[in-house]
Formats: sequence, C-alpha cells, structure tokens
Amino acid sequence: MFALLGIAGILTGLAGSIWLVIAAVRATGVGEAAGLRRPVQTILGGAVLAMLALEAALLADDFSLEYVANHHARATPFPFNFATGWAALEGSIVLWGLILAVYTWVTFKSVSRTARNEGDRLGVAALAVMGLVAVFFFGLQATVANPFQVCVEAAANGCLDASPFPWAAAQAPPDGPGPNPLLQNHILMAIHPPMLYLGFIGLTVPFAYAISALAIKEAGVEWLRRSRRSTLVAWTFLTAGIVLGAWWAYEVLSWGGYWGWDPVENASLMPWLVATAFLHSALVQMRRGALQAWNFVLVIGAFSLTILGTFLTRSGVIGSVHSFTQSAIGPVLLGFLFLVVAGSFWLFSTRSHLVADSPRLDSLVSREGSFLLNNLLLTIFAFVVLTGTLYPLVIEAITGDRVSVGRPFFVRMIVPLAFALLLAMGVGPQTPWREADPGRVAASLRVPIQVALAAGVLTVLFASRIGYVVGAVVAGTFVIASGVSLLIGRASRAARARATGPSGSVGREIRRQLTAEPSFWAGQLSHAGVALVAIGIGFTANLAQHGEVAMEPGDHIEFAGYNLHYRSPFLLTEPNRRVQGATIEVSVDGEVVTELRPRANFYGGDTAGISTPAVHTAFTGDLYLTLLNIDATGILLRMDTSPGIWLLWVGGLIAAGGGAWSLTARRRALVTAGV
Amino acid sequence: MSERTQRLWSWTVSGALAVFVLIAVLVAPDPSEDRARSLGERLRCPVCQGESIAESPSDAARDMMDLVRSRIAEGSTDQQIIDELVASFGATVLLDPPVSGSTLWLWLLPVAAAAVGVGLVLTRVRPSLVRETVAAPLRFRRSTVGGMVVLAAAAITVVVVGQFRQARVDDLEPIDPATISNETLEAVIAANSDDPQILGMRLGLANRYFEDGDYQRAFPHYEAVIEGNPTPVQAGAALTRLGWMVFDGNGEVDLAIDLMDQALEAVPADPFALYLKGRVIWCGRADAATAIDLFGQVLAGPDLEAEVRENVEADLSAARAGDTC
Repeated sequence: MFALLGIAGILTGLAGSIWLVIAAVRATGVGEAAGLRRPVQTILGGAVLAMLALEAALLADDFSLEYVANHHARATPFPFNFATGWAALEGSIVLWGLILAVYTWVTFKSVSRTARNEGDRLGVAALAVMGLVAVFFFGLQATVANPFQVCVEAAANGCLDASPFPWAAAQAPPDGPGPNPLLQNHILMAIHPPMLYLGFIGLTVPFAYAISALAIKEAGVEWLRRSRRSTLVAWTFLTAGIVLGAWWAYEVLSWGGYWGWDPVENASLMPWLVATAFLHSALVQMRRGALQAWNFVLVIGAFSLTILGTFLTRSGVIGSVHSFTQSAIGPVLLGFLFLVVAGSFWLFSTRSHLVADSPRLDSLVSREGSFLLNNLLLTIFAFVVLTGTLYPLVIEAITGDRVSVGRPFFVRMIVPLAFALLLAMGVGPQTPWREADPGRVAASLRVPIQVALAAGVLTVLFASRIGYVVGAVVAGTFVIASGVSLLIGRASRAARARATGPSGSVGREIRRQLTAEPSFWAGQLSHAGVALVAIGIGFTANLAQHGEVAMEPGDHIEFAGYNLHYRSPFLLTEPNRRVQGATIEVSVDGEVVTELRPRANFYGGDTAGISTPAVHTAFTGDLYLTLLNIDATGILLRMDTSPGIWLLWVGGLIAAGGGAWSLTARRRALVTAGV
Repeated sequence: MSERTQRLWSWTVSGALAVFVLIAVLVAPDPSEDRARSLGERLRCPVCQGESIAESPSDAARDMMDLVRSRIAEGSTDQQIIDELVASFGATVLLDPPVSGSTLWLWLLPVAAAAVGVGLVLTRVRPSLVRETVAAPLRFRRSTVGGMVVLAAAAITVVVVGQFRQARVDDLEPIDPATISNETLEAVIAANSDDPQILGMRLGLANRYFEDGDYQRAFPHYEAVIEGNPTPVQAGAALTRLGWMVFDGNGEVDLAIDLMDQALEAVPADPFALYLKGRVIWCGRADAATAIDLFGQVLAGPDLEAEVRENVEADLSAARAGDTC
C-alpha cells in the first residue's frame, strides 16, 4: 500500500511540475500568477504524499519495500527510524523533492502577491524555471532513484532484488540491517541533513530568478533584489547545516576533528562561499549599478555547485562517509549538471548586451572596493576547494595516476586567504561608498586596531605565542571590535546630535540604530560569528594536545592537566545495539569534574564496533576520549584536547543567526509597511 | 592635549602594542614539535576516507604511525620515511601532494586563477583609476598594466613554488661538507655519477686529494669533471690542477703548459692558473724571464688571497735573484 501511495505521490509531483512549466511559460507574457496555484499545489501535494508514504512505511516496519528492507531494522529507535527517510540515496531525493516543492510554494505565494496588481513576468518565469528543476528531481524519483521499489526476493536480513512496479508480488524479509551505523549514532543526524538540504535547494530560487531575468530580458535590479533575499534564506540554512555537520563529525567520527576536507564537506562549502560572495556583490549592484554580469555568474555558479555537490556525494565517484552506494543516478546527475551549466551560460551569452554597460568603480578604497576584494577572495577560496576536490578525479581520468589531496594542501592555500578575508571584514564596513578618504578610514579603525592588539597582548601573555594563534585572535578581535565601534560611534554621534532634544542616551540610540538598519547590523553579527569561528580554528588547530595510553582498571594517568582514572569497563544491551565501553573518571586539581564513557557501539550483527568518543566540554576547551581497543585486561585510550572548540559552534550559529535576524527584520518591516 | 597629539599618542600606543606582540611571537621558543605527528598528518590512512594516519583511530593508520615512529627512532629523515611509504602504498598516501609531476597544476591553478581574478577586478575599476593608482608614475597603458599583473603573478608563482621546493630540501638534515669523510664522498659520488649536480662535490673531493698530494686519487676525478660538462670556473680549476699534476708527478712540461693554457682560456687571467703556469715554466724550462712576467701578472690581478700573494712574491723575488726553483 505504501508503495502505491508513494509512487502516486511521485507521479503527482512530476505531473504537477510539468503542468507548472507549461502554465508558467504561457502566463509569462502578462505575468498573471493565478493560474499557477493549482500546479504548485499539485507539486506540493505529491511531494508531501511521497515523503509521508516513505516515513509511514518506515514507522510501520513495512519490509516489503526495498528501501525499508535494506535501510531499516525493527529495532531502530525513534528518531533514527524517522531520519532513515533521508539517510539513504533514494529517500534523500524524496526529501529533496519535498523541500523543492515547499520553496516553489513559498515563491509562488510571494509572486502572486506582486502579480496581483500589475503582473509579475519575472516571478512567473522564475516559477517556470523552478518547475523545470522539479521535473528533473521528480523524474529521478520515478526512474533511477525510486524509493518505492517492491522487494521481490527477500533475504533473511534485507532485500536482494526489487521491482519498480508496485503491483509486483512482494516478498518481505523478516527484518532489515538498519541504517548505516554512523548515521544512527547521534541525534544531530536527524537535523543536519535537512538543514543542509534547505540550504542547497534554497539556492534554486535565486537561480530561477536569474534565469528568468535573462529569459525575459529584464536584467534590471528587481531580479537581483529577489535573488539576494532568497539567497539569504538559503545561506542561513546552509550556514547552520555546515556548522551542525561539523559538530556531528566531531561528536561521532572519533578522530577528534570536525572538518576533514572530505569531498562532501567541500561540496557544501563551495556553494556557501559563492553565495556569500553574491550576498555582498549584489549590494554593489543595488547601490552603484556595477558588477551586473558578475552577479549572474555567481548565482548560476552557486546553483551549479550544489548540483555538482549532489553528483559528487550521490554518484559514488568519490569514496566518502556520505557517499551512498554506486548507482545509475551518477550519469544522470552529471548530465543535468552539464545541462544547467551549458544552458545557463549559453543563455547568458546571448543576453550579454543587457549587462554590457555596467558602470565601473570610482575608487578601490571604498565600500564597493572592499566588496570587490571580498568577492575576489571568496571566489579564489571556492576555486581552491573546487580544484582540490576534483583534481584527483581529473588526474585519474586523464593519466590513470592516483593522487590524494588532503588537509595540508587546503591549509596552505586557505590560511592566507582566511586572514585576508578577516582584514577585509574589519575594514570594509568602516569604508564609505564611492570614494573613501584613507586618513578617515584609518582614524575610524584606530580603536578596533588597539582592541585587537590588546587581545593579542593578552593571548601572548596568557595563552600562546604561536604566530597563527595570536594572528587569529588579533584578526578575529579586529573584526568584532570594528563592528562594535561602528555601532557605538554612530549611536553616540546620533545621541550628541539629539542632545538638545528630549532623548540623549547612547543605549537608546544603539537600539534605534539596530532597528533602523537591521540588515546591515545583521551582517555585522554574521561577521562577528565568522570571526569567532576563526579564533576557534586558530586555537584548536595549533594548541590541541594528543596522547595514547594503555590502561588497566584502577590506573591513573595525567594528561594535559587532567587526571584520568580508569574505573571499570561496562557493557550495555540496547534494542538496536550492544555497547562496550570504559568508565573514566576525570579530575582536575584533585576534584572530580566528570565521568566519561568512551565506547564502541555494535549494531546488528556487526563485529567491528563503531567507536564513539566521549567529550567533556569546559570553557577553555574539550577533553576528547576515544577507545582504540578494549578487552578483558584493559583499554587502549586515545586522548585529545580541543582548546576553544566551542567558539566554532557558537560562532557558526551566530553567523547563521545574523542571516535569520536580517530575514525576520525585513519581514517585520514589510508587515508594518502594510505590504 | 590637542587632537593632533592625541592621535599621535594613540598611534604610538598601537605601534608599541604591535611591536610587543610581534616580538613575543618571533622570539617564541619553537614549539616542541612532535615529528611523528606532523609527518603523520601529511600521510593518508589507506583504509579511511581522506583522514591522515595521525588522526585516524583505525588499526591500519596506527600501524603506519608505529612504523613512522620507529623509523624516526632509527634516524631516518622525513623524506626517507615518505619515500618508503610511497613505495609500499603508492602516491595516494601523500595527503600533501608535491609541487611537481602530476600534482604540479594543483598548486599552479589557484595561483593562476588569482592572477586572472586580480586582472578582472582591475577591469571593473575606472581605467583612469587603474592608471592613477597602479601605473601613473610610469605612464603605462592599460594593456601594459595587464602585462605587469601577469608578470607579478608569475613572480609570485615562482616565489611560492620556490618556497615549497625549499621546504622540501630543508626536510633533509643540513650537512656540513667539511665533516664528511673522503670515503663517504666517494660513495655518494659513485652513487650519483650521472647527476650533473654532483660535479661540484667531485671537484671538492679532488681538491682535497690534490692538497694532500694524493695525485693518483685526484686524477680520475679531475678528468671526470672535465668530461662532465663543467662550468668554466670548474673546468679552469680542474685543468690547472691536472696540469700541475702531470708536471709535478710525471715531469711532462709541454702537456702541463698546454693544460694551463686551456684553463686560462676557460677563465682568463685566473691567478692560480697563471701562478702554476709560471712555476712550470720556471722549474721545467728554467725560463725565469717568462715566469717573472707571469708572476707579475698574478700580483697585478685583483683580489688575491694573502697566502697566495706571499707564495707568489717569494717565488718572484727568488726568480729575480736568479735562483732555480
């Protein structure tokens, strides 16, 4: 039954998408959106039905579905059984379709608002583009990535062969192997992929507006305004998704790190970098009319990179934690990527006259100059990540040589770029538009520079004299101090100006500034978040300590200021796993601060346990314990410290929070303005 | 305090803080580096997904780390350990790909992209501004500015690549040639006899033998230097000493003078060649007049080492006095 419902949902979504394309193309002439309501509703209905059918099949243990039989087990607890709905290839495409349908619906709502008065050709054509993308993704589900295949040859624990026809005679195995153990080890797994998907798929909307603007030859500022806003939505989710993903890796993959320059991590970082560049360069066009062509390139690039990322992660061309099994979806995604890139840039080249006379900048020392620098750095950053990710593939395809590109390459290339970006983040907001007086900019940076240097002195005296650590603290503090001093400076000037009037308090003026220009200050908040991330990376990358020790029950060991006492081994049997671990008492200066239980989790019939670290978090940093081995006589324990790593999580979420603030503030402003 | 002094003060404080931080960082003691770990971070765990052997908790990675530690304990250099692991696991074991061979473009592409990016940025700025800020003093055209950007990018590339090359050479323990025995040098030279860069080392070894009077050992090395496509200076040095040896060892005056003339062709007015030629003519042909002329040329030349000057002056006065050598 679930198979039938699910396939009905997919086909409904596919039909709705085709309908939307046809209806929207026809309505583009006048920009009338009313006729698009039905197709958009159809897409959304179909997508919801497909997702619900899949989730219901998982919750109901319906092993007659191949997807359920091979990715689920009766013992998998909530919420992991629910998250299994997107934890494997076909399910993840169903979630993709659902999120795309939701974005299409939201876009339709906003288009129909603007279309009501005088028509909205741009929005209607954008919906046609979104319809085309939806055709592709529902088409995938209906063909090479069908999650509702019926199991026709059951094994004792899983399914051997399946049929795409829901009426085929089903053979349900008694149980399944459950999801990939790594994916049912931590609650973040239920949150991080949907967040990332909201980010990735959200980039379809700005792409749709860009293609629409080119198609109907309206390369004005309207497409840009809408693309920037929708990019901000996607960017906020993407930022949160990346941070949560890093956190998940840290908490689950017991190597003590959070970012491995894994192709899939890179795949999420590249669109983020390009989207970040666009958020800035769009402002240059809005304010000064410049960079028109470049903005098209960035928006098309960000969307293409998400498709590239999907190809890399879903086709199995690169071995990675995130790559699902090799499947027929690879060539199809590659074809779609080619179509998107070639089609978009062909369209762009036929419309290049629309953006030909974009004005040039008056000065490099100006706000737009600093945005230009920011774009240059972010684009090079994205290019480095792209090169490093694809290089092994390309070289192997051309010469047959197998090479690896890993952390040392990325670190060497990106650390200088990161420092340059931090400097630009500190200087840029202090620079006026058009043309700045360098002396004035220097004067306004005097206090931030002093604060940053003072932070550097404190670091040198109390934390570390390693150049990268001090550099990260100085640069990061500079960014934060620059934003804060800008706010206080403006508020106190305004307070002085009003001093004759009834109000003169700086505190009130700060609030007034924040509400008057929420999107600017939200941007500054995001900058501060990124700066905190940089400081956190500086600390963890340079000051972490590592050790490895064999212990027997009762042993004590000193490590990095902690006293670790191996109390005893323990064994637990949970419904979906067996857990074998060690209880370790951690004390500092003779006082017990916590008890850590690093463990190995054994899922199903697995004999190789998944090592799961135990983490003690303190203000100065984390203590991170991993079991390398455990047997009757003792344990082999790996010990790591991660100084200041919480700055990464906090800073990352603050950066995402800046995006959210900007969006909600603008929404409130629209509501109060009666729009 | 006027605003001007206040500003001056303020920048002085900033400068002082900056200098303090900089000095503190620069004179910081080298962090006691864990060689095994930093080497391990550059090597890929073959059974994991992009993790280094220093990070991965897998058995294979830990076995490899044990190997690295034991090789370090045995005194292997980083490069030797890397070479050994590449030989057993292939080039994929290198997470830090070399700036050469099939991974050369990996390093060059981003640099090239950066150069293109800078060029694009310049096209987005008023052309007059580009001239004013970048090239006004030289009155260059915009195309010239583009050329300069490309040149600058190329220079940066060279420097960056050079740095990596440098870093790789620095990985080896620095060697003071003076501390190496003749036997070791012989072995190294024999092992690398095809390498053109070995000529310098060969010449140095031959000079050692020459100064010890061990002509038999010196002879073949000088011959090899001359046959091995040497620089003019190397050729001159080898020919001069060969000439002296055929005279001093075998008494062959004509051959000796011929060889020294060749040396002087390679390095005109080389003082050492002139001096030894003078001695051969004085001692072998008893032609004091020519010798005096040659010694005079040596002393007239620039930059003579004090020791050589003393010898030459002693010989000159002896020849003038009519002594035989």
